[in-house]
Amino acid sequence: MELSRKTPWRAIITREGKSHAVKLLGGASQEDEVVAFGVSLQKGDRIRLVSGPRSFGYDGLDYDEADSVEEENADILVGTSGEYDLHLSTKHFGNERLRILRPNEDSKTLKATQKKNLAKMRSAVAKERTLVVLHNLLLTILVFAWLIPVFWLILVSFTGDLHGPSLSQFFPARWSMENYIKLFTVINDVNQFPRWFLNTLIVSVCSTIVSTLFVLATAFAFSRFRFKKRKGLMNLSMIIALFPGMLTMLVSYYLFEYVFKINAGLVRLIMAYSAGAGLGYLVAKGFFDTIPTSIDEAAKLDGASSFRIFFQILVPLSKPIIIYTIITAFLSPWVDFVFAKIILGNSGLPPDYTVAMGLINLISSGNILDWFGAFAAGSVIISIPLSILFLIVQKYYVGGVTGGAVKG
Amino acid sequence: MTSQAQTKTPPKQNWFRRALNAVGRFFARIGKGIGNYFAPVGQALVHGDVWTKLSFLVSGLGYFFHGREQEVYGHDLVQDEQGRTTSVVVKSTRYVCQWLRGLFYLAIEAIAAVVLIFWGIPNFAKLSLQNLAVCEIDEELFIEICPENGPDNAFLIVLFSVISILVLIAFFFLHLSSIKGVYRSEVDIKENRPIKSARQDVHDLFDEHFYITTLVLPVIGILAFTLVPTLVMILIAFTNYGGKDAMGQTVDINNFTWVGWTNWSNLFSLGNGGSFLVVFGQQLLWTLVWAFFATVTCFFGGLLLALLLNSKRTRLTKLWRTGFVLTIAVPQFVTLMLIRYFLDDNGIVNNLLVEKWHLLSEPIGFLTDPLTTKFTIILVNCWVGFPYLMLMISGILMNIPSDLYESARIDGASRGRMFFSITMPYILQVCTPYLISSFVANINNFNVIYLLTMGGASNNQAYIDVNARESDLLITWLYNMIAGGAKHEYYMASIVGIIMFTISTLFTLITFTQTTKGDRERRLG
Repeated sequence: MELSRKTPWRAIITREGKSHAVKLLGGASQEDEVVAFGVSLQKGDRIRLVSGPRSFGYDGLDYDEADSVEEENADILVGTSGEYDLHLSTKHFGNERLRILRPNEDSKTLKATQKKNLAKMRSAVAKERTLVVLHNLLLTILVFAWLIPVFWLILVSFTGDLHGPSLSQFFPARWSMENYIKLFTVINDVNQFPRWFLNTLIVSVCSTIVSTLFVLATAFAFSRFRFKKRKGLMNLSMIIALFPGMLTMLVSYYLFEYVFKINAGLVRLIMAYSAGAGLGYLVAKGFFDTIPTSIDEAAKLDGASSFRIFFQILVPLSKPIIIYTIITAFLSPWVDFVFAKIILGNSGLPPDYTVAMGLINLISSGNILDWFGAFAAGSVIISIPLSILFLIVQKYYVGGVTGGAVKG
Repeated sequence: MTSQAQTKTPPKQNWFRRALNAVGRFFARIGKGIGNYFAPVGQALVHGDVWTKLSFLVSGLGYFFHGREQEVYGHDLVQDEQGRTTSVVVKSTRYVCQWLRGLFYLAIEAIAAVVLIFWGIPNFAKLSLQNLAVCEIDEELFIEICPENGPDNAFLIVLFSVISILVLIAFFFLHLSSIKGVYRSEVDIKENRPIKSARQDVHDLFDEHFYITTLVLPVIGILAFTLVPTLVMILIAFTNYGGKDAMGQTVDINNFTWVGWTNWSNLFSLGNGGSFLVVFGQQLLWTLVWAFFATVTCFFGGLLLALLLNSKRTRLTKLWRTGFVLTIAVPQFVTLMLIRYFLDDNGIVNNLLVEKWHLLSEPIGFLTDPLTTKFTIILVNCWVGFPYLMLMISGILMNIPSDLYESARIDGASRGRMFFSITMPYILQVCTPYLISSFVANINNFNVIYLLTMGGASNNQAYIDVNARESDLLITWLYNMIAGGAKHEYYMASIVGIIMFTISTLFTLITFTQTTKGDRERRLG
C-alpha cells in the first residue's frame, strides 16, 4: 500500500494526557509507528508527509507518480499550539517521515501561493487527463487494427451465398449459419471436418505426452548428471537441430514407408511430431539449472534415488516449464500443415488429415469456390479452444520463450 | 614426453615453430585420447582369460562366466512376536555374476547382425548406384518388364546403407565397452573386489545411471528421425536425384547415381545457364535482409507496444493485452491466408482505394509486384511479431530490479536518462541471445512468406528455370523444390539445405558463445 493522491491520508489530533497526538492514517495498515513524542507545534504550522523513494516494479516505466516525494496538498494545519506526539500510520517503506513547516511569511502571501499552487495542480491534472485519453485511444486503435483479420474471419464465416473468397467487402451481404451447417453436414471426399478435428486431437494429445516426457527426461539428464561425452552430446544436439526440418521430414516419409512400414497416418504423425522432441530440451534444462542442487542432495541423503528425485521433487517444482512444454507440443499439430503433408505423402487421404491440412485443402484451387465459407467456419471453430487455452496459460508461455533468462 | 620437453625450451622459437608445436601437441593429445581409449582393449586381448578373449567374438560372453561369491544385501520379510510383517535387511553370501549385462550386449550384437545381414550387405553391394535393376519398356510389346525382385530404388539403397553404417558404428563402440567391462570384471574378481550384481545394475539404472534410462528413448528418436535423415539428405547433394544426367536426360527418380562435386561446380558456375547462381545469390541476400528486418522491426515494435501497454496511463491493460494475444492464438495459416485475400489485387484494400475512394487509378500489387511484395511481407510480419515481442518484453520489464531506479533517482537522473541507461541496457542484455536465435528462426521462417505468396509465379525466366519466385526465401524455395512445384529437384534442395544449415550453425555458435558467459550451469560434486 502506498500513499498517493488516490489514497489520501488524514490526521486525527487527539489529546492524550497533556500532549496532543497527530495521528496520520493512510493506506490499509493499522499499525502505528510513532515518529516523535512531545513535539511542540505552533498554530499555523503545517505537517507534511515526506515519502522516501518508492519501490515499483511493474509500473516502473512511468516515473511521474513515483517521483512525488512530498504530498503538498495533504498538509495538516495545526490549529492549536501545544505539545503533540506524532504518529505515522502507514505501511512504511522505510524512508517516510513527517516534516514540520513553520510559515514565516504573512498569511496573505501564504494564501496567494496556495491559490497559485492549486491552479497549477488543476491544470496539471487536466493535462494528465487528456494524455490518458489520448494514450488509451491510441491503444484502442492499435488493438482494433491488429484484430481486423480476426474480425473479418468471423464475419466471413457468417456470410451467406459465398462463392470463393468474397473479396470486395468487409461486412456480409447476407448473414447466415450455412457455412457452419455445411461444414458439419456435407461430409464427402473433400470435407471431413469432424474427423479431422478428432484426428488432430488424438495426434496432439499423444504427441504431447510423448514429447513432454522426452523433453523433461533429456533436460533432467543434462542438468543433473555429469557423464562422459555430455558436452559433446549437447553440442551435437544443438547443431543437428538446425538442419532444415523440411528435408528431414522428407526422409522420415521414406522411413515410415519402407523401414518401419507404418501405414496408419495418425501413428506416423504422432511419431514424427514427438520423435525428435528431445532436441528441444534447452529451455527446460535452463529451468532445472535454476533449482538448487542442495534440494537433491538433501533427498539423496534421505535415501531417495534419482528416479524419485526427478518425479517427486523436480517435476512438482517445474510446473511453469512443464506447462510451457505441454502447450508448445499441443499446439504444433493444430497449426502445422507442411510437415504433415510431407509425412503422409501421396498415400494421405482426407480421413487421415489433420485440421490444418484439411482446411488448407478446402481452399486449394479446385475447392475454394465451394468451400471458402466452410474454411472460415472451421477456422473459427478451432480458433476458439486454442485461444482460450492460450489466454489461460500465456504467462507460462512468456516464461518459456524467454527461457528463464528473465531472472538474469 | 616429447611435448613436455618442448614446453620447457625457452621461447626463442619463432611463431612458425610455436604453431607447429601447438599442432603437434593437439595431435598428441588426440593420439593420447585414442590410445587411452583402446589401451584396455589391448590389455584384455593380451592378459584376459579365455572368456574375455571369446568376448571379442561374442559380445558380452565373459559376463556370464565371470562371477564370484560375495556378500549381498537383500530384503526379507520377517514376522515378529506380534505377528506383524516387517522388512529387514539381510546379508547373505551368494554367487554373483553380471548376466544381465551379458544379455544386453548379446542382444545388441544380434540386432547388429540382423541389420547387417538384411539391410547392410544387400545395400552396401549396390551402394555404388551403378547398373541398378530397373523396369524396361519393351517397345514392341508395349509392356513394362521388371526384374524379379522388383526394381531397385536408389534412395532406399542410400537410406538403408546409412542406417546400417550408423548401427554398425554404434555396435562397434558398445562392443568395445563390453570388452573393457568384461576384462574389468575379470580383474576385479582376481583382485578380490566385489562386482555389481544384476540387481544392483538395475537399481543403478534408476539412481546413479538414471541418465541412461532417461536418455535412451529420446536419443534413439533423434538418431532415427533427425540424424539419419540429415546424413541422407547431405549425401543427396552428391547425386543427381531429381536432376539431369550427363546427356541432359531427366534422371529416373528411382535410378539416380553419384556425381560427386559436379552438382556444386555446375550450380555455382556462371557458364552453365547460370540461373541457379544468380537466383541463389539474390535469394540468399533477400533471406538475410528479411531476417534482419523481421528481427529488428519486431523487436522495436514489440518494445514500443510493451511500453505503451505497461504505462501508468493505460486503463484496461488486460483487455488490450488479450486483444493482442488473440492474434497469436489464432493459427497463422488462417490469419495470413485471410490477409492474403485482403491485400489481393482485387481485394478489399485495393477495392477501397480504387473503386470507393478513387485515390488510385490502378490497384497496388501488394503481393504480385516483386518489390512491393517484399515490403508487404515485412509489414505483415510486424503484425505477426509485435504481440509476441510485446508479451516477452513486458515480462522482462517486470523483472528489472527497482533499486536500480531508486539509486538513479537519488542521483537525480531524468526519465529519459533512466530509460536509456537502465531499461534499454537491461532489455538488450536479456534479449541479445534471443534476438540472435530469432534471426536464425527468421532465416527458416516458412509460414509468413509461403502463406502470403502461395500460388504466385515469377515473370523472370531465370527464376522460373529454378522453380523460384522473387519473394521466396531459401526455405520456401526449398519447399518448391521438394513438394511445391512440378519438378522435384532433390539434389538442388539438398545443396540449398546444406548452405542454410551452415549459415544457421554459424549464427548459433555466436549465440552459444554469448550465452555461455552467463551460464548458470553449476559443477556437480
